[in-house]
Amino acid sequence: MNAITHSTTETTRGTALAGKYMTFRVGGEEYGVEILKVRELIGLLEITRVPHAPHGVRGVVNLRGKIIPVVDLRTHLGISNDNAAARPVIIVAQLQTASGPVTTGVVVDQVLEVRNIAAAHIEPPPSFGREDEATRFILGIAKTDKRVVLLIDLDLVLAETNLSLVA
Amino acid sequence: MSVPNPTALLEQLASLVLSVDADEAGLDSLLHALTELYDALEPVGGPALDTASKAITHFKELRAIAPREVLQLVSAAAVSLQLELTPSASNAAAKAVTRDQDTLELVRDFLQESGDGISVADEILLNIESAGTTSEKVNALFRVFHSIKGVAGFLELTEIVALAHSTESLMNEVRDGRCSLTGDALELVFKATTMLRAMLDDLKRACEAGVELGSHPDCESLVTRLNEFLAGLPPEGEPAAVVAPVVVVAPVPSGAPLVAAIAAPRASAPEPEPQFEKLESAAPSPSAPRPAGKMRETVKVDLERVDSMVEMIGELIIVESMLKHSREPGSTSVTMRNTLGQLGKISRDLQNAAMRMRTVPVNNAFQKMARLTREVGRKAGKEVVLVTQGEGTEMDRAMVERLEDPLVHMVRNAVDHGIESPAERLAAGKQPGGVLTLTASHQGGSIVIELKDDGKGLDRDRILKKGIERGLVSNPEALTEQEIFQLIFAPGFSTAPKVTDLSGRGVGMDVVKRNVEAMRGRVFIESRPGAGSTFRLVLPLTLAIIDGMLVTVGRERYLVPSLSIVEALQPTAAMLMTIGERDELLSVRGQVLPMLRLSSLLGVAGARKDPTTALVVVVESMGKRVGLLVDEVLAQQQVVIKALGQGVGKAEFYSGAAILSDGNVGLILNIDKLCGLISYKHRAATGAQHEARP
Repeated sequence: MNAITHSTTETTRGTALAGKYMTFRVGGEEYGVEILKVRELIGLLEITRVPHAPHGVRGVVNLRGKIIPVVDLRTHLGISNDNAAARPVIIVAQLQTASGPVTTGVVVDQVLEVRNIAAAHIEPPPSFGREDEATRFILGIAKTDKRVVLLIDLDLVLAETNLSLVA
Repeated sequence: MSVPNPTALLEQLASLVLSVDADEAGLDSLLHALTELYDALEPVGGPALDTASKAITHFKELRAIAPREVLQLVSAAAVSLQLELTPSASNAAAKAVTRDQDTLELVRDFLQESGDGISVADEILLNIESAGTTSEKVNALFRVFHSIKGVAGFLELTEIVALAHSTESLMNEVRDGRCSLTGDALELVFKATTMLRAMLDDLKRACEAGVELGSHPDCESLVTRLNEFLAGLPPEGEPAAVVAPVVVVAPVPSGAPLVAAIAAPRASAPEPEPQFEKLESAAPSPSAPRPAGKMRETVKVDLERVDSMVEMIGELIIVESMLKHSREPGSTSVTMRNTLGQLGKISRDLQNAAMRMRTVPVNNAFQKMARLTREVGRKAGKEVVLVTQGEGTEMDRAMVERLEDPLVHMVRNAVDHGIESPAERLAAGKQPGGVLTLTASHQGGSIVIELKDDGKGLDRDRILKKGIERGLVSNPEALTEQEIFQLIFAPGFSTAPKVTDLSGRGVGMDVVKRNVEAMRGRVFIESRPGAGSTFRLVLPLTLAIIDGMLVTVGRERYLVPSLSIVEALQPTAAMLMTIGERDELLSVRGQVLPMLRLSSLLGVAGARKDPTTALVVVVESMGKRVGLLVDEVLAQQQVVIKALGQGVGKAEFYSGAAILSDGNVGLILNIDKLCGLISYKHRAATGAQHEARP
C-alpha cells in the first residue's frame, strides 16, 4: 500500500487513506492505524523478553494460547521512555509481510478512539532528508478538531523489524 | 427376439449403480439390470458370463445382510465385466482426470482406505507365508483387492484397476483350489501389494502436485506376469456353478467408455467410504493380532481441528490453574474448592482424551518392517523373521511417520550386518534362521522401541579401528563400550567390507540418530559378541509436549529440556577455574567442562554473580557437555511446545516457547545451539567430549 501511495498524487493519496482509524498515544504524539488491521486490544499481559530479538521487539505474549511478538513503537519512532504509561496497552494487529499475514502486538501508551478521517483532512508527511527519520512510517497527517493524527504504516514497522534481524 | 448388446446393458448397469439407493426398489432394479445382462451374455459365454453369474449369486447372498455393500459389489462387478468384455481395446494413455474438490475428496478416502487395505493384505500374506493358507485368509485378501478395484474404477485409475483385477483373479483361483498360495503365486501377490502401494503413493503425489497421474513403469509387466501365471494354471475341471473360470485380461486395460460412464455421474454416487468401512468391519478378522480393534466405528476429522482443540484445552488447563492459585477473597470457601477440584479433574481428563486423539498404534510401521525384513533377507540370502511385540502401543501420529525411516535403516542394518548367513549360524551352533524382535512399549514417560537381533553382535574392535582411521577417536582407551558403539552413527561410517545394494555405504545409521534426535529421543546400543545386538530408541510420548526444567536467571525464567540435562549441582569454589579470568571452566568429578553464564549470554540483569551461590545445570548435546550457570531451578514441568513464530528474529537460542502455569510465556532453550557455541580445536566433534578428560 505504501509503495503505491508514495508515488501517487496528493489527492489520490488522501482518497486512498480516507477511512476509519483507531487512534492511540505514544509519548506525547497521537497516531492512527487503519481500523481493519486491528484485531483486538489487550492490556495487563506480562511481556516475556526475548534476548537477541531484533531491536524494537519487546518480547512475546500469550494471546489465548498463541504466542505473538510484541513490537515497541517507541524504538521505531525514536520516542524516549520518559513519560511511558505505567499500564501500556497492546494493540493486536494483523500485519502483512512478504511471507503472509502475521499477528503482531504493538505496545502503545493509551488507546484513544475510533474516528472517521476524510480525504480532505489528510496531508502528506514532510521529509526531513534523513534516512532514519520516523516520517518514513507515516503515511499521512490528518488534521481534525484542532488535533493532528499521524497515520502510521504498521506493515512497514514490522517489515523493518524483520529486516533488522537479517543485518 | 433380438438379444441386446451386452456392452450397452453394462453401461446401463454402471450408471444405475451410481444413481440408486440401497433400498428395496433400488436393489430390485439393480438385480433386474444384472439379470438382463446375464441373459445377454449367455450366448456369448466366456469369463464375463461367469463374473455376471457370480455377481448375481453374491448379490442375493449379500442383499439380506448388507444392502449397502451390494452397491459396492455391483460396481466392482461392472468394472470386471468391462475389462472382460473389451479386452482388446487397449489404450494405455492415462485419461485426463479432472480433479475437482469432490474427486479429490474421493481420492483422499480411496488412498486412506486402500492403504489400510494393503496393510491388512500384507499382514495376511506374511501370516500365510509362515502359517499357511486358510480360506478365511484368502477371502480377506480377495476382498481387499476387490474393494480397491471397485473404487479405483470410480476414479478411472485404470492401471490400479488392472493390477487389482488380475490379483483378485489370482485370489479367486486360490479360493477355488486351482492354485495354492505359495512360491511364485505368493511372490506375485507380494509384488502386487508393493506395486499397489507405490502406485497409491504416486497418486497421492500427483494429486498434491495437481498433475496428471503418469503410468507406473513396472505395473504393466507385473500385470502381464500375473496374467501369464493365471493362463498357465490347469484349466477348470468341473464347471462349477458359482465359480468363475480363469480370467485373462488384457495387460493394459482401457479406461474406455464404461469406466467413464461410471465416473461421470459421480455427484450422485454414494460415498464409497462408508461402505468400505462397513465392509471392513463386517469381514471376519483375517489374522489374529487385531481382534477387537476392527469392529470400532471411526470418524475422520481434519488433523488441524484436532490440533486446535488440543491447543484450546491446553489453554483451559492453564486458566484452570490460574483460577486455582488465585488468592481472591472467596476462593477459600469449601464449595469453591470442591468445584475447582472437580473442574481440574475434568480438564485433565479432557486433555488426556484430546492427546489420545492424536495418537495411533505403531502397528502400521511395524508391519512395513516385517515386509522389509523378508525382502532384505531374501536379497542377502538369509533366513530372517521379524517378531513384533507391543504393536498396539500408541504414539503421536507424526512420530510414527518419522519413525519409519530410522526403522528401515535399523532393520536393513540388522539383517545385512547383524544376522549371519545360515552356514555361519549353524557353525556357531544357532538355528539357521535369524530372528529380529521389534518391540514397542511405554516405559515411564517415554516410548521405547527396541530392535533386537540374534546375530553376531557388533564388532567392537573393528568399529574402534575404523573410528581411529576416520579420525573420530583421539584417545581410544578412554572410550566406554557405549561410546564406541555410538561411533557407528557418525555420517559415512561403515565397517562393511563391501558395498551391497542393501547397506554398506555408511548412510543409514546417521539417519537413525538424526531422526531420533530430531524427535528429541535417544539411541542406545547393547551388543554381545555372538549373541546379537539391541538398538533401543527412547522417544518422548509426543512431539507436542516437552519435559522441561524451569530455571530462573535474574527475574527471567527459561525452560531447559530435561532430556538434555545430565545433572544440576551447586559448584564449590574449588570446582571453578578460569582461562584468562574470563572464560570459565567447571570441574565435575574430574571432568572439566566449559561453563556458560546464561545471564551474560542472554543479557539478563540482576542475576547472581557468584557461582557458589547459584546453580549449574550440566547439559549435553552432540557429545558435548556444557555447564549452564543459572540462579535457581524452580520445577520440572511438562509444557506444550509452541513455535515462537515470526517477528522475533532468528532467535536461535530458543527451540520454541511454552505457556507456563501462570499464563506467561517461557522460552525453551535450544541446548544444541548453546553447546554449539563451544568448539574444540584439533579434534573432530565426536572426540571432543573426551578431550577434557584427565
